[in-house]
Amino acid sequence: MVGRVERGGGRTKVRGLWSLIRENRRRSILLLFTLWVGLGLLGALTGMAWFGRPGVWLGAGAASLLWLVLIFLARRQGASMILRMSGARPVEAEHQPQLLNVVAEMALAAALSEPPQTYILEDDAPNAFAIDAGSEKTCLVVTSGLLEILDRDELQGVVAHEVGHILNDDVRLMTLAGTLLGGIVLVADVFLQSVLHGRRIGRRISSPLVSRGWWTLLPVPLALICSLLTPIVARFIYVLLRKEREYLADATAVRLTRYPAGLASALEKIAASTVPAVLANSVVAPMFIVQPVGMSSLGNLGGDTHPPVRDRIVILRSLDRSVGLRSYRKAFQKVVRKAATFFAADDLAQAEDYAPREPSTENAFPGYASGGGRRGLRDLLRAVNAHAFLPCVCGLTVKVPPVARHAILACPRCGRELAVPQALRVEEAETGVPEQAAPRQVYHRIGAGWESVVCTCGNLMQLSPAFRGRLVQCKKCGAATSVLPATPDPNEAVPPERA
Amino acid sequence: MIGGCVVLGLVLFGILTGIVMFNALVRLRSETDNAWSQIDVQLRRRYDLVPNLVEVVKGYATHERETFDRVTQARSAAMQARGVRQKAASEQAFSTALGQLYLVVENYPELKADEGFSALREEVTSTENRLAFARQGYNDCVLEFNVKVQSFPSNLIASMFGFINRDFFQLENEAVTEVPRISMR
Repeated sequence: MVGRVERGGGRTKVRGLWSLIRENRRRSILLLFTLWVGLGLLGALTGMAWFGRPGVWLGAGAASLLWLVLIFLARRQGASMILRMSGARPVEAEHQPQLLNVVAEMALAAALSEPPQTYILEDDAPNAFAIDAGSEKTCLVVTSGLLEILDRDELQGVVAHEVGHILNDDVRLMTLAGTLLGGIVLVADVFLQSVLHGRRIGRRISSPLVSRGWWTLLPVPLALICSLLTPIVARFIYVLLRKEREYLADATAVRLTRYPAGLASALEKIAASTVPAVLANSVVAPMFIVQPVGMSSLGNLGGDTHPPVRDRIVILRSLDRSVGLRSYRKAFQKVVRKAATFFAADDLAQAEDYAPREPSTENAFPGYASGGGRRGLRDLLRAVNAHAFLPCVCGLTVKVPPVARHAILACPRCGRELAVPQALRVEEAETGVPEQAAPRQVYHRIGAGWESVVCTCGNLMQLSPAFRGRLVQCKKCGAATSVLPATPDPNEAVPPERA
Repeated sequence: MIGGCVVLGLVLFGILTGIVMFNALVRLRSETDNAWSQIDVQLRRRYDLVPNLVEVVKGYATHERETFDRVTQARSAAMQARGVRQKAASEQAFSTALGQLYLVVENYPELKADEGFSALREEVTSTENRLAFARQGYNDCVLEFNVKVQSFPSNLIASMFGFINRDFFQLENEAVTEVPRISMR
C-alpha cells in the first residue's frame, strides 16, 4: 500500500493523510542527507587521522560508500534486522485466531492490498509497533503483554493505530531511520576505535604524513567528539520525527474502527502498566504505540518520542458523536490548546464525519470484566458491597452506591446523563418512597456467565457476568425486569422466561 | 522560434499531466476493484460459515427448523446475486435471516457453552466485522475514485477514457441489517 501510493503519484486523500505522507517523504530525504553529511565528516576526519591530508577525500569517499551500503541494507534487510534483534516470532493462526482476525479486519477497513505479517514479542510490557518490510510488505509486532490485558475492541484500536501509521507512510521513515541509526552507531564505534589505535599504528609505520604539522593532532579530539556526538545527533534527528504522527495515527485509527473508546481504553491500560520493556532500546522506541517504560532516560538526549498519552486519551474520549477527521482536529485543539496546523486543509476538505459504532457486547463493562490489578480488586469490593456498575458511552464505568437518590446521574468524565437502574432506587421504594407499580417480569439467572433477557417489549438485553444489580431496565421501553441470582443448584433453577 | 518552443513545451506538459492523471485513475480503479473483490471474499467466508453454524445449532435447537430453512434459502439467493445493487439487496435479506439465527443461539445458553460452538464464536464475530470493514474500505475507495472522476481537471481524462462513477455499497436500512450484537459467550 505504501509503495502503491508512491508509485501511482496520485493522492490518497481519503484513506491516508496525504499531507503527512508528503511530509514523511521530505523528512526521509532530510534524514538521509544529514546522515550523509555526518558520515562524510566523520570519514574525512578519520582519514585525516590516519593518512593526513589526502586521507580526507579517501575517508569522505569511503564514508559515502558506506552510506550507500547502509541505505541498501536498511531498505533490504531493515525489517528482518529489527525483527531478529527484538526476537519477535510470527503468529500462528491456531494460537492467536483473534489477533489475526483483528489484523485482517483492519487491513480490510484500510483497503490494504494484503494484511501486515503479524509477530508476537515475548514481553510482559504491553506495546505494539509496525515496521516496513519493503516492496509493499509491512510487519506488525505486538507484545504478549498487550494481548494479555486487552479485549477485542481495545486490540482492534491498537492494531488500527498501527495500520494508521502504515497508511500515513510513517513506518517507512521510522524503519529507515531506525535501521540507519543502528548502523551509524556501529560505525561511530568503529571510527572511535580506529582513532584510538590508528595513531599508534601510524606512528609505528612512521608515515611522514602523520607526524607533520599541528593539524595532525586536531583530528583526535574532533573525531572523538564526533564519534561521541554522532549517536546523539542521529538519535536527535530520529526523535525529531513528528510527535504529531501519533495524533494522526490515532485519528486514522478512529476513522477505521469508528470506535474511539476502544483505542482510548487500550491506551489507558497500556499507560497504567508499569512493567518495564525488555526491548527498551533507542532503535525501536519511537515506533511503539506509547513510549516504552524505562525509555524516559532517552529524554536527556533528545526528548520524548511520543506525545503525552493523557492528551491522546482525553481527545479520544471526547469523540462521542462523530469520529471524522474534523471532529478529531476540533478535539485536539480543545485539549492540547494548540492550533492543529498539521492537519492539512486538503485532507480536511474531503474528510467525512461518521457516527461512532456501539461497543461490542463483550465489552459492556469496560475496565471491569478483563481489567486486573488494583482497579479490578477495588471493583470487586464494590461489587461485594452491592455497588452498581453503570457503563457510560464514553467508556467510563460509573460506580453507584447501593442507595442512589437520583434517577439520573451525570457521568463524571463526559457529563452525559445516565439513568440509574431502578434496582438501586427500589431500596428507596421499599423504605417508603412510592414507586410505579407495574407488574414486573422476573428473570432467574442460570449461572454466572453471560445471559440474555428478553424484555416484555421484545428487546434483547445482555447480562454480563459482572452484573450484580437486581433489576435491568430496558433501553427501549424503560420497563424493568427483576433479576434473581442463580440458585446454588443449577438443576433446580427456574428456566428463564422467553418472549 | 521561441513561440514554437513555448507551444511545444505546453503541449508536452499537457501530455505529461494527462498521463499522470490517467495513471492515478487507473490505480484508483484497480484499488476499488480490489476492495470490491474483498467484499466478495468476505461474503463467501460468511456463506461457508453458515452451514457449520447451522450444524452446531441444530444439535441443540431442533424445533427451529423454520429459521434454518430461511437462512439456507437466503444464503443461496445471496450467492446467486450479481452487481452491486442486487447484491446489497439480497445480502440484506441474508443478514436478516442470519440475525434471527444468532437470536436462536442466544436462546440456548447450553449451546453457548458447547465446545464446538465456542470455536465458532470468534469466527462469527470476525466474519461480521470483516464484512462491515470490507464494505467501509470499499466505500472509501469509491469515494476517492468518484471524487477523482468528477473533479476538474481529471474529469477530462476520465470522460475521454470512459472512467465512470462507481456505486457505493449501501444498505437500504441500516437498522434491519444491523446484526444483533450477541455476546456469544
